[in-house]
Amino acid sequence: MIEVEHLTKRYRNATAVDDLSFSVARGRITGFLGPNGAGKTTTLRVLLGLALPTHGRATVAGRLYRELPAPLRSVGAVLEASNYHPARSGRNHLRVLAAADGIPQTRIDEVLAEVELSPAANRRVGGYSLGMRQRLSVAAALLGEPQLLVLDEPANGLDPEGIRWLRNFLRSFVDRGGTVFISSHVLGEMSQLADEVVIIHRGKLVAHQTVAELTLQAAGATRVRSPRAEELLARLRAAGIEAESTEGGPLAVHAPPERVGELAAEAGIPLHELVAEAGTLEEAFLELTAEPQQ
Amino acid sequence: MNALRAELLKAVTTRLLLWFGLGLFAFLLLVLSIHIGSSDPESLRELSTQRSALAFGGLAAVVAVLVGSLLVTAEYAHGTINQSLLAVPVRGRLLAAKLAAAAIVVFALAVLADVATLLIAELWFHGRGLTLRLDRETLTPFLGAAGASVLAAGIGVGVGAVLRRQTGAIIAILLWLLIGEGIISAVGDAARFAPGHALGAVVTAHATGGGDMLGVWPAVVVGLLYAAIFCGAGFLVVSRSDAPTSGD
Repeated sequence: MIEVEHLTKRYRNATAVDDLSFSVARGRITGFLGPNGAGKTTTLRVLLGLALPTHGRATVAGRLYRELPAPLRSVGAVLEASNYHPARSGRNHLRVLAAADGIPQTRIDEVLAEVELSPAANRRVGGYSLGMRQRLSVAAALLGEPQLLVLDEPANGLDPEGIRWLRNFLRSFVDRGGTVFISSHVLGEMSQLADEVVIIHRGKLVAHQTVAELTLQAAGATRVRSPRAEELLARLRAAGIEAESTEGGPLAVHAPPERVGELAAEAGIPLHELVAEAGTLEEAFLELTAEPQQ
Repeated sequence: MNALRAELLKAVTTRLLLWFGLGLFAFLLLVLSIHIGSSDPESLRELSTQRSALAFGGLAAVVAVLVGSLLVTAEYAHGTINQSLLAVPVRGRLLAAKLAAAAIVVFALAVLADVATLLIAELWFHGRGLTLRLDRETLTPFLGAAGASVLAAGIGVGVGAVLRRQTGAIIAILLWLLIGEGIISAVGDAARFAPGHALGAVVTAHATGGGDMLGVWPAVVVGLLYAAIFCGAGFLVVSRSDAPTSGD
């Protein structure tokens, strides 16, 4: 659905995106993660034709955004919640967008209801809270009934109820055949929401995997129970493996379960439990984007 | 057509035009009252005085250049250019739609200014027991005001696209009109080719011109050239630059 090919974006003194390539599969929620300044917003803006690439390209369904015949009907985008004229009402903002892409005006009330903004539709956007502006952004994105949503930090300004609404909405959007590409700093939220994640750091790709794969690789411990736990602990430490025991509880071993199982088998130590405890997306993210020690 | 419809909606869904319209009406009321109220009756009976009074509707061209620039720069000031480019991603098409919308909007504004000018002048003349001649000769400046406003809007859109900063564009336009045109006038004959003088010549609509004013048709050509040059430069700037952002 989205193809980013060798994308580079340089500003005068800085490279925001550096030879970045990845693709986003149709019918999935793909998270786009990276520390502040990693180049996420720049990548999304190049994809949406708002910024010009230095090299490479980013396409939607094989076309540059500006080549899409009816862009709002193909891609719904949620960018900064501050992109509004404060004196224009929410409804008028949507009227302008609908007119620009030939979308029937009847669609405006539908999307306002969908984001639960109908009561405030005729109020000036300048009086909206950040959360209301964010909902208006989502309404604008839905206006053309697109099959792809590109969202840049859409949870910013939303209260917990709003975040839950957004999560449920995006999940049902994908269930109906849509595709979502979403950048976020809220990693806990993303681990619940995304099917796969693209992680970038300093403008470069550092991971593109499913959330399940990524968390498995993260620094999770292996939980081990054995009737001869003390003996196993000594064996593990002798093999240079970090492990901790809890009184009467399982051992927490910082090694893959395969390695622990092999060591136990070699020593003839019976095991009652051997479980790989996955790390969190946050742990994976921090490992992948850690700065090298000076 | 969709892009043009959207641009017209943008123009009428804020109070920008209302305030400019009210300001223009107040200014016309003031300057026409001073002009007609302070002139002696003999002078007011002359055709040239009546014609110059009705040419005050051409002040709409000053508002037009500001409106044209604001239709572009307000989008950058509020960040709405991002949404506009998402809906109309071909930048030349977006700029063309803004140009067309600006022309339509300021034409309507100029017609209203002409009507206001006529009403105010008629009331003053009637009040002083004089007759305002309404014929082809005296009403020609009304067409000139509408034409000059459309040209001015084109220049304004171009200047707005080149500068993209709201305050900067307004200051640049006002400085040019208040100081730049005066400096050129003092330097020599070239003043009649300056944008303000050329648009002034379109408003007064004299066939042959004279002094530091071009004739009406050469002035129209000069006005069109300025609009084309500024819009061309604006197109290059907008096409080759990123839309503004506060993200990373």
